[in-house]
Amino acid sequence: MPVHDLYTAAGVVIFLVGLLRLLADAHLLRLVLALHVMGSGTFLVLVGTAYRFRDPDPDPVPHAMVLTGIVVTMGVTALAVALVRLFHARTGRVHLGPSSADEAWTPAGERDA
Amino acid sequence: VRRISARRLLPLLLGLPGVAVLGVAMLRAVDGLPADATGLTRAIEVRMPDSGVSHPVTGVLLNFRAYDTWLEVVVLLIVATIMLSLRRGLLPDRASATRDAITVGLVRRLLPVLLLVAVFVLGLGTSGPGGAFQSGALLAAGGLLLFLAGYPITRLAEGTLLRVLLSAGGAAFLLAALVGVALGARALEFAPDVAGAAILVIEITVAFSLVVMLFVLLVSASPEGEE
Repeated sequence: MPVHDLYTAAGVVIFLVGLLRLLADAHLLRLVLALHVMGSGTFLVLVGTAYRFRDPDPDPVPHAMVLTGIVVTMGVTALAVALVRLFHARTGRVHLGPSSADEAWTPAGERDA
Repeated sequence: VRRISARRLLPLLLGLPGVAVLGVAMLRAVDGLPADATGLTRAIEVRMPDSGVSHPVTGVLLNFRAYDTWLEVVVLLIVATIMLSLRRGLLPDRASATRDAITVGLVRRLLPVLLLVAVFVLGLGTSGPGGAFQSGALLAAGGLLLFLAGYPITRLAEGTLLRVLLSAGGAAFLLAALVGVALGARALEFAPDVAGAAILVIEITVAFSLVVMLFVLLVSASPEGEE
């Protein structure tokens, strides 16, 4: 297995780790981070794919897409974090849903934080 | 050890099989990609002399797929606009009292180097990895340094100037597209003899715009000034 295929496979795994976290978590900031991790996995897949088409240089189109994607991801993350902060400032909460969810879903170690 | 409550465990257990199936499908798709294809490398190589630049990634970003880059700049403009609306404008400058010898010393030494590298990276874009986005990121970092060190930086970009700078990048692409259409070409289709100049003008404008957009994003994400 060539090394760039390992990158692609690693990208898939990173994407899945982020996706799993997105499904399993409820803390808003961690959801934003999970989304960001999924994005990073996608970029690694694209970079790995670009190297598959090396002739002799990697395919510039996926590289350009990654560059574009990084900037868009940064914008999305910044916007999401700003919205989470605003939500927290207004309500004092870090979870969506009924207000009892905050207590029920906060891990024991973070209760007093 | 963190306690996982039933309410957290349930979506995890339900999601796990789905994610596993998706993972297998994705890895199989990767494995099934043809090994001897050349992707778009060949197509880009053939058209590179018409692109007006010599670096293939820049050629893709600002010529062959300029539409993507245009929309990317617009996405950032939308994000910056929402941030400014949420904050009702830029944060006020920090009091100069927060300035101390270490931050001032750091800013004084770093900023000239940052400026130099940013200009170099912008010019490098036509022939190597670099260009408006990398340059804009460096300059925005410089602006953030100034902001954190308590220099009156947000006062420099307020009101009309802020709006003009924010929209300049998207407007440059729009103008290039309109001029192209007016001259009988398709939108964002650059004739080979003017492509280089057009890309350079767009890159410089986008770089200016990006500095302000990224600066707005970074400053707006800071915890200060929240109610």
